[in-house]
Amino acid sequence: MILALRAASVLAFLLLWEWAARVPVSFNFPSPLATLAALVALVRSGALPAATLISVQSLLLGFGAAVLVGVPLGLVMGVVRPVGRVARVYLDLLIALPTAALVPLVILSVGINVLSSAVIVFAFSAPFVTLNAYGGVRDVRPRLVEMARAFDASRGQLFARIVLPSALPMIFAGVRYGLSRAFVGLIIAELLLSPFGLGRLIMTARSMFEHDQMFATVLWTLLLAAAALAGLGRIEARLLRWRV
Amino acid sequence: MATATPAPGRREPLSITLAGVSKTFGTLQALVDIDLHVGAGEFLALIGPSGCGKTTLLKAIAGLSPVDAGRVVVGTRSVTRPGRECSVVFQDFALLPWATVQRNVEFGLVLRGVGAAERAATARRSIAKVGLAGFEEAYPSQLSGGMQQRVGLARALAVDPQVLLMDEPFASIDEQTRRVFQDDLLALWSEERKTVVFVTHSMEEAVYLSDRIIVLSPRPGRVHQVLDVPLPRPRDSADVRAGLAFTRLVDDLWKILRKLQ
Repeated sequence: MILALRAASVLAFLLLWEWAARVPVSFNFPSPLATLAALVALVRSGALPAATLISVQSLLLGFGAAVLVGVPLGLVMGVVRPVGRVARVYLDLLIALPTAALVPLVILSVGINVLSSAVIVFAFSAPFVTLNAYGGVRDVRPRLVEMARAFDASRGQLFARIVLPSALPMIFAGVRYGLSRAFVGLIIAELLLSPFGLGRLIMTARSMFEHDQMFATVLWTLLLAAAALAGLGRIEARLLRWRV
Repeated sequence: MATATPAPGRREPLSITLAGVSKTFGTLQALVDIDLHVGAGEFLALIGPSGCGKTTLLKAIAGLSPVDAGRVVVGTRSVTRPGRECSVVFQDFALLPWATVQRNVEFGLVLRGVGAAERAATARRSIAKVGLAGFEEAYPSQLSGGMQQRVGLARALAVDPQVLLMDEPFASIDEQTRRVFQDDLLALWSEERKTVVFVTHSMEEAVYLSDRIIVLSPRPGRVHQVLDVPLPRPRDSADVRAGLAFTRLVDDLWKILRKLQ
């Protein structure tokens, strides 16, 4: 049922796209078929795989750091209340800030390279990863803590056996959202600054009026993000099996 | 409930003594000058209007909520923090939703550093004792309320406590399930010989289960009256509940409680 609905929605989207290309919405608007052809051509020429490799490096570096820093930081914020009260303010500010505004600052301080894209990816995803880990700790059921204390649990045991598993679903939700944000950050960084990667490919195609190629790259990025999110979803489903 | 041969080294039940216990939350006096003795192996019920400090008293015995004045002694230990003599059964079960029945029951043993093989065997025995054999791999969310509380009881018993503290354990369980559970609890208690302190707001339950009933008065919580329950044991459900002595005791209890409302 859900599968059929999904297939139908994809089909509807493609039809709408085809219709928009035929009207045409704009002279430059490519049809789905032309986009697909461009995608195949880009993969064959090696331009897309090369750009992907570079972009994925920035993504993994920035997002990996966001998880490795954000989750522990959020946990510490949750467990040590004063730290949470103070850090919370900065996180809220970071989330309210249009992160793209940080790009010039990053260019000035890091330069233009894979690392600068990674820093921007980090800035986009880390606040959400952190905030969710923090929220996960704050949401631990006090009764479970009391139960463990009644069994004379040490502080370490309380954390490992009650706090961490309780917070895990929210940590995962944060990581998943952080990954979507990481893709947004990646493309913004590459559009604005980098002379390489998928963003660069989009910009090059645009400047040469090869709109089918531009769309193909956007579509490719979308597929990449969807695949990454699905992979994460699988890990999550396995770790949180009890939530069915 | 299978009758198992007692495990070797089963620990003897302990007595509980409270002397001049008081507890305040902010400006609210929860407990005032409570003196109470629970004999080793006794089944004691605590009853009283809501807000009378029954749960506070139970937590004081468990060491979860230190008292402001007076002394709580379990066995020979003066209680200031949780210890290994007591297990607590909670009204809302307090099960780990991410763990199977087996892992939930193992919880106390894990915290005490019991090895994996012994832990698994002990937990399985405990699960069988409460009548849940076959549900080891189920998650709490897949069980009914009554079954979840059986898991809570199995977890409490797995660490072989000398005192069992039960905080309105059957309050969120439907009447029919509760009656069966009450009989099972009595059967277990007669086998295991634990000191039990049982908080309830059901008069029938207090009379049916306990040797003695402590009636607490509310705000501030004091021992209002102590009621002996001289009904013979074992108490078979049908006979005892229908008997005149039972009805009279429930009625006495009601007369006391009504004045306290």
